[in-house]
Amino acid sequence: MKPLTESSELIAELFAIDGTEARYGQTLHGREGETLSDRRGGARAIAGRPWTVIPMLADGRPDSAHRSAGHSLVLNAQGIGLECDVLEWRWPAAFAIGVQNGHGVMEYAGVDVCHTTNLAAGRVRIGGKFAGRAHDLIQPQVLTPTYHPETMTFRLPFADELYQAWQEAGVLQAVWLDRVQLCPRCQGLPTFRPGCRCCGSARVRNDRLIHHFACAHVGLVADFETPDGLACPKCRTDCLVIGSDYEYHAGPHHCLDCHWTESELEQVGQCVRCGLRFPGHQAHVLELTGYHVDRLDPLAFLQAP
Amino acid sequence: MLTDWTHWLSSKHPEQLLAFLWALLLTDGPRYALAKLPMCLWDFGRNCCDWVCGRERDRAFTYCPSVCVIIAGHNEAETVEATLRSLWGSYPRLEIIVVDDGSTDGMAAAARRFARQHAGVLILSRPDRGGKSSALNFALPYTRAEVVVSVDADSHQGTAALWEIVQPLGNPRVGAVSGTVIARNPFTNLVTWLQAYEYLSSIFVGRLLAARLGILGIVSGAFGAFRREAIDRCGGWDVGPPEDLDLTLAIRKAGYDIAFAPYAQCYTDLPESWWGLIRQRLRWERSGVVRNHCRKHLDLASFWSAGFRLSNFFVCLDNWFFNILCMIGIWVWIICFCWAPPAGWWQILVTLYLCYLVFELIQLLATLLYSNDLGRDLLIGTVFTLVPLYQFMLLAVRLVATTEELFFRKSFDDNFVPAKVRAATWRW
Repeated sequence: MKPLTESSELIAELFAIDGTEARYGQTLHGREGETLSDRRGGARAIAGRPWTVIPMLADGRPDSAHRSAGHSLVLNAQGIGLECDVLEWRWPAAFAIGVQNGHGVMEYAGVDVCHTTNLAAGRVRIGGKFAGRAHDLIQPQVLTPTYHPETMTFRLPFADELYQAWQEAGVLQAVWLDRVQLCPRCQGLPTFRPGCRCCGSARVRNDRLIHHFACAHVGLVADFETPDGLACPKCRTDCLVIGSDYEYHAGPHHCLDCHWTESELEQVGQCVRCGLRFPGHQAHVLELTGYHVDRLDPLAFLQAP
Repeated sequence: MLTDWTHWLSSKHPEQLLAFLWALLLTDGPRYALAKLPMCLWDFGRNCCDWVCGRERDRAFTYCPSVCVIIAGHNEAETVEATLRSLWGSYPRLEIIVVDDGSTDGMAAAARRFARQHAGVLILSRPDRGGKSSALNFALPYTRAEVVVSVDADSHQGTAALWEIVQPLGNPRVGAVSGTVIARNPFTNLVTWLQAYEYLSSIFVGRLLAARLGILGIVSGAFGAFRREAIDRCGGWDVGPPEDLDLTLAIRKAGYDIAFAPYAQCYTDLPESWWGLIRQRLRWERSGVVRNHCRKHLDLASFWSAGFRLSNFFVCLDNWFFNILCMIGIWVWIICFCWAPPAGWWQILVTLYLCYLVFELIQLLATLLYSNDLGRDLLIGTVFTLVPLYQFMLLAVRLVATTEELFFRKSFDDNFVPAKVRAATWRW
């Protein structure tokens, strides 16, 4: 491997710097009309850190068998140039790279290959941009399940096998995100509201009670009401004063449909897909699992201007 | 000493002995023994006849009303689950309502854990303590059961206890039924052992006798069944303590009879220290006879009051005479005896003690006659030789409590009832 002092030459080699505009064919993801000077205008770092390189197969899965180690030669906010060991194998169009940060945590980025140069002794220099399929795979929006109203399900954008393969490769970590209550029959999304524990009806009347301290009578507020104010129906004491003579209690809930009496209402679910009404505690609980990746921040490697 | 005593005893004529032995009749033990004796002899004779004739008395459960058990408690998180476990499933269509009366130890949460796995258990929780009476009343709007059973949160029920306790309510004249309260911890120490003996003789057999005579005036709050209709007529529980005695007398006043179910047994923990026992008895005695029979429910004995019944009069008379007059009488006797000790005073005391033991032995035999657990009850009964001393201590407690209540109405300062209720209620 060449010393880092020679890196300017390497950079020129990697990105095919010839002082003119780069040809489109030299870069896989260069944009039309973008010049090399545009792309390289920002701050850049020359970092000799060890990197883990995981090639990405055409179907999106990681090729763990050809995982290799490399050293970065140059890095900026848009791309990276690195040199790595490669066995006799054709280099893919995209790969994931990982590097250990100062806290010992591996951080990953997705790179689209722009340029490769085979060196002697099974080494290769690669120039790539932080873009493309591998880069897309580690974006937060594709790592979190989202609700699809047309199917009423929570899904990830890609197949589960793909995520699992990248998890096994050590790039992604499965994380528990949320717990969602679903219809126990069709797994559709239900609505929840308080209702009668017996029949599930929302037509419930709640009575308030009064506790009269002097005689310990507890009865409905309506029983205490007289034209002259509140009077205890048991001991006939009138002109009751709240706090010193009586206090209110939440009373029983009466279902107007089935006449059930209960102290607390139950959360009743109703599926918006199949219409099933069920007690809240019978809901099917779906553990929503997403994925997390410690994403590489190239700017963290760059010195402030 | 023994020779002295036998010489002294043999030198006395029966009239001379009776001249000082009459004082025994002022105490509870001999009085109960003499009253129980005819009942026991009658039942023993009847049992013998049944045995000779090969006749079996039918004790099948034929009455099955809807029942709601109310467990009202304050800071009973440790015991409420065991109580619920002993009740649940012991009776068909049983409703159980737990009222957490402002507990701070998570009693409602403990009961809810049980309720989540067992149907028919309703938990009511009040943020502020309002007293046991209102806690029991608070549960009433939640049930329409024909029979309401009140159970303490620190007790557990014996086999078929609920079935046993509702059977007397098959008689429409009966408004409430008292169950038997038995010690759960009889052999923890001497304090609980003596109390266990007392519970057996005064609750198990004593209430059987009172119920037979039609003068049973107490249904234990720890385990008592009430006809819902009777509760509604009386307006529910009134401010205590003791709310159980108060409601029982109100039910009697409403025209109902009170029954006793000796085999509806409930096990409860007894105080394990002398001071705990004394405090408990001071509270019971203060709020018992003076507050209820002499003041609040005095109209039970009024011949001119509406719905007067002779049995109600005897309930009051029984309590006035035995709990107040006899208590005063025995203390007068003790003071006179100490003031001017008669010749041969220690022989007199020994004679009294031995006579008391004879009466206690009769009581023990009466207990064993009705016992459904002979081994346990016989073992509890072995402590009977110490009972005269125990009764003497309780007599002193009763004197203090009655005096305090008569002159200072101390029962109204009891923190068993929260301050806001004490301030608002009437001081009878």
